[in-house]
Amino acid sequence: MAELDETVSKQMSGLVELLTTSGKPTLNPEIMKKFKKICRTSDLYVEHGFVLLMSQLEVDHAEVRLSTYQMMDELFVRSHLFRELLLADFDTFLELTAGTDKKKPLPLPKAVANNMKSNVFKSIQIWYNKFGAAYKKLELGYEFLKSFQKVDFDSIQADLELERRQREENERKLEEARQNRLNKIDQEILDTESEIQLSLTVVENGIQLLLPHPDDFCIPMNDEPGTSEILNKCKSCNNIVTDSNITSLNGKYELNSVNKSVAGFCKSCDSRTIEDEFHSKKHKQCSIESEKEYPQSSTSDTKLCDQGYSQEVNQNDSHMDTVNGNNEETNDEEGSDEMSDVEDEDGHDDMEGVDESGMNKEHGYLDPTFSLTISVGPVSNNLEETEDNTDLIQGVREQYRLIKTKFMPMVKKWIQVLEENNAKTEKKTQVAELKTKLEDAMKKCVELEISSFNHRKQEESDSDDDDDDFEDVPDKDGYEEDIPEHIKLEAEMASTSNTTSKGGKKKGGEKKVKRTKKPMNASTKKIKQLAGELVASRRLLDNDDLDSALLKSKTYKSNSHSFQDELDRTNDQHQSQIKLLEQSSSRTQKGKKQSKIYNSPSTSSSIASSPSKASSSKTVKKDITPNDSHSTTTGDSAKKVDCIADDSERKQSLLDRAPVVPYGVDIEHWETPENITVPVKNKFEGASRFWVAEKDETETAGCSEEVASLTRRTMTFVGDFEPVKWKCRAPVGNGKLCERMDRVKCPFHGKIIGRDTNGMPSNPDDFKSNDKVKDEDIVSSSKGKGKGKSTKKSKEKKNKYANLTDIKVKEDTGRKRLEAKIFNRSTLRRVNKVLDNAAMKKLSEKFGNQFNYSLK
Amino acid sequence: MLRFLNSRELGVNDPLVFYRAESTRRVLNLGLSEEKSVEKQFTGNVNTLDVDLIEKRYLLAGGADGYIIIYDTFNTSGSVKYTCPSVGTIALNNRHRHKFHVDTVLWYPLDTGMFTSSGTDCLLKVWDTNRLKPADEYQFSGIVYNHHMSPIATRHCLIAVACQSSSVKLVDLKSGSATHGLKGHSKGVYSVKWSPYNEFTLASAGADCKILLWDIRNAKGSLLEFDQYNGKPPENTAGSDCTAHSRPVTGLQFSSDGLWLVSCGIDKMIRVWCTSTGRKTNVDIPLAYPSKKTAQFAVSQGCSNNLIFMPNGKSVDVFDMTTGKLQYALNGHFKQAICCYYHPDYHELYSGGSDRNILVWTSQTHNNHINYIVKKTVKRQKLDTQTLPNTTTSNVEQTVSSATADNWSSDEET
Repeated sequence: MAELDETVSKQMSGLVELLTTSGKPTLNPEIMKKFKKICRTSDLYVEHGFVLLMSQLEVDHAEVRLSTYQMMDELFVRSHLFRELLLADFDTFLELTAGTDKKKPLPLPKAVANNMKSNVFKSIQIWYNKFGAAYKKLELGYEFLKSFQKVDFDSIQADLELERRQREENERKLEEARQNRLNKIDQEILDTESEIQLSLTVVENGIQLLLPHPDDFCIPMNDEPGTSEILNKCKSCNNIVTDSNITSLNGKYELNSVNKSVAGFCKSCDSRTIEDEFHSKKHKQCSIESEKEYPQSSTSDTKLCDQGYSQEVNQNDSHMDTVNGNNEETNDEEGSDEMSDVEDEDGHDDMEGVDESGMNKEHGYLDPTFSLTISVGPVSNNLEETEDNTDLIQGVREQYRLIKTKFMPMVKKWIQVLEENNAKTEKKTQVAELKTKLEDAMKKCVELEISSFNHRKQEESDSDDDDDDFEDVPDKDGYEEDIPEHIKLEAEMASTSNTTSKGGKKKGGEKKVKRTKKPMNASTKKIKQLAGELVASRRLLDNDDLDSALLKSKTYKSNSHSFQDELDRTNDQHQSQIKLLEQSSSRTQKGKKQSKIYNSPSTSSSIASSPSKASSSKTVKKDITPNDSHSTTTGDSAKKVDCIADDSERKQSLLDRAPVVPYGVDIEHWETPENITVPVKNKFEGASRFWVAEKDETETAGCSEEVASLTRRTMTFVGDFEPVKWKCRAPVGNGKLCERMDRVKCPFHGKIIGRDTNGMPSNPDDFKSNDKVKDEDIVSSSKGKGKGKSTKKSKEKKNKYANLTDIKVKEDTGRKRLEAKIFNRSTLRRVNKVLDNAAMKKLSEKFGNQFNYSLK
Repeated sequence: MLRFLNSRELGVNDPLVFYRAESTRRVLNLGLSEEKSVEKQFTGNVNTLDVDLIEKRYLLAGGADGYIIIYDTFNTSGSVKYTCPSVGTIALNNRHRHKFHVDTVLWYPLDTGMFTSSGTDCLLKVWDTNRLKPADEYQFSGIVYNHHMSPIATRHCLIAVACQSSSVKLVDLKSGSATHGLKGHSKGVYSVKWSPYNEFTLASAGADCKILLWDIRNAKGSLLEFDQYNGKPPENTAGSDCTAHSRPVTGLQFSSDGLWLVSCGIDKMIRVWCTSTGRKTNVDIPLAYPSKKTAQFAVSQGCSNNLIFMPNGKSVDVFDMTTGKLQYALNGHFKQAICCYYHPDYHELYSGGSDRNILVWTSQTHNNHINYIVKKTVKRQKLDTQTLPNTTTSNVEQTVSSATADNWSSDEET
């Protein structure tokens, strides 16, 4: 027999302790798994585990036993040896878990014990079903329980059966639902697959048309008579093209002129369109090669023709190899990435070979070291949208959008659903294929930036929209000129009328503000008109007090509530001054957002109409709030003014809020409070010469008090009383909730917190803190009785198995509390004393005259 | 065993040696029989068991409420798994049954056509097995605790009856009357046993803590009294009485050769006495939970070291008679085990208890071997397929062959 590994055994006992003292109704699966893993390694460990568990089972705590039983259950189902061991001690097991021995009742807590008991019976039923045939003892135990403990195994069996059936039913339902979902998906796939295929083909074809594959370049043009004709005509120019091309390869600076000449030549050609395009194309190629950059702007249409053409040329003319090579190469460069590399290389090879021969032919010198390096710059795949391909691109874009917004998510959803519901693999692969196809299509679109066309387009439209949002504010200077004379006059009239009708028209002015604010976009005309008014008013002014104007313009932008103060203060100002302000404000707001202009003229008008209060123009200046928005001129002085203005405004606002109190002693001696004296009392000293009143010793003390009473002022609270709308709602002993309505803290239940219908704190943090409060309360209260220390200590001691329910804690019932009070020794003594006294009194009354009683 | 067989074949060994060796081996390996069981018919305690001496086939069991049931222990079904059926039942519907507990049942040693029973209703009944009706009844003044017939008697047909009265009554079946009493006990007699060696020798034990050995031919008094101190009582013990136990003696059993007498009492001791000298051997076996009433325990036969099977609480403890060591305990009853009977031919033990069961304990030697083989194979399997749980296969196995089910279902591990 092998020896047990000591560390492993220690680990096992640790695990057992950890698991059994968790105090939870179920085992921690991870730890249990560890334990099982150890037990699995050898039967020795099973045996050791059994011993450990058996000893743990004897602990007098239902929670420990429950956990131990659960562990045993796990092992019992698994290990034969464990079964044998347990069945050998089966009666002990039953005694300890099911309480078969009446002399040894199950330990506390009762609820857990009962739960354990029922669980044990249930699992014994399961064991019996599973192993009953093989384990005699199990059968015996089962019979014993059935006949002696009157365990209703039939009902347990029925329960189990029911459970099993329910489980099966659930599984069946799930399976059904899964099948349904799959069917639905199948249907969906069937329905939309054709659609997707269609859109895929549209995209494919569209892209094919926009950017054909090199393989597709071979258009058998020979069959068509028209094209062959054109070809013949172009033949002559082809040579030149080749030449130009080659020269372009050799001498880069000559390029432009050559190309131009080529272009010029081609213009004269009969085959107008094709050649034209072709040469323009050539020109671009040259420029590309020379400058090594590709601001490619050729449309796909031209390319298409071009390429078709070049292919043709290739077939006809051996000289055209170079062109072809170039052409293909450029195609490769420009075109899609999908174009095969082989093709690309072919193009290079072709070109190089012919290049050399061409050079030999043309210039008659041989440069063996000559090598042409073509560095392919960053490829831009942009397709230019032209009139010719707009529809095509539009169509592809639409399909792209469709794929992106509709089909892709749909397919993704399908895949997810299929994965979740264990669909057949064929189905999965089918959908996956579809997905890859869609992805390919999308990729192509993205690469060709068809999608980004979309974006760009959208952006453009967006910016247009933005532009629409902003009103075009014409230049002020230009504007000024256009103001008709009669409007100026009107404005002048309006302002004067406003100022003359002081106070009364304030409301109307405000109304006006509202009105101007409301129809924002529509009332541009009106705004213009107002601006015109302002300008006009400026015109009317003789002196241009820019400073004050500036300040005023800032105040306009101050928020509404300070603005009200402003109103009061500015009321007194001269009409002309106001006008000045108005005009300056309109000036400062040149070219800025119109919305601000809405405010300033209107407010200025309201200022003009607001009621007045005596205050100098100086204060107005100080009251200006600092504003950095768009002041045209801001000097140092202005800043200083701002600063002071800030203070003074605060002061002003405070003053506004300050209460008015009656004049009193404290105010009189505000600066020298020590001078406050109490009025002298008249004492009746002169009443008698002899009867002198005792010196009042509290006189000096009372002095300060009296002074205080003089200086004290009572202020009545003028704030609104808010009645408390909530209750404490902590659960009270009688099952109700606390009805106290405190604002912050209930004297009985602490801070008022959110609680659910049962009075439990809805916030878990509250719960904890509440518990703490309770604990503290208990501790403090018990400390009062001198028990606080002991409870604390016991708690610390018990800390070892903190998770277990403390079964030693006595239930705190009313009866217990009463008993503690009534059967208190001192109470008993006191009561007995009283009773004794009463009895003695009775006795002495009755038999007091008898000598034998008198002895007592 | 093979070695013994071989030497037996060669004639080197005495047949008795082989017999002894094998029976010892078996007796030392008793365990709850997986194959054999006894039909559950009792509704109360099973108080007493007896197997007939003629065929060693019929198990007689007596219990609460006058139940007497005869089981057939022969497995004639052919299958390994066998439940002994009852072939005769005296239950509540039998008007001749004992009114209360049946405390002792006993086959007539020479014929299975007759058996006797006695109980708390103060009656000793002689039953006709075939008709299940009492052929004769004897009324006693008090509870009949025990009765016994000599298994070897040829010259007399006496039933010794231990009842509440202090004298041991001897009932002669031939005359149909209680012939005489043996007076020697001062209190009630709890147990009587005839010697299997001498047909006239009788041992009795009583509430007065005494065990007396009688020769029934000598009516004057007992042959000898067993003394727990072997004539040297410690000084502080008062009284001159020669006691076997410090408390009432509840059970007696002779060894099969009649040389030894085993007694147990409620002083929680088992003592072994030499019947020829009357001296106590050095075997004092403490017992945790002795039965309060008369205890029927068993002693094995034909082993090199005979074993005592003693009901002890819920288990049946097995002690070595010569050394007094606890060999093993048989756990199977869920309540107090009351009686047990050793079957000398099968090397089986039957035990009855208050959990209404009669359990059969057979030797587990072959099972152990099978288990060993199975474990080996399973371990090999486990090594092969460590990760794959073979629950399904084992379950299949279990259903296929119930006999080997436990073995195959045994070692699945997940």
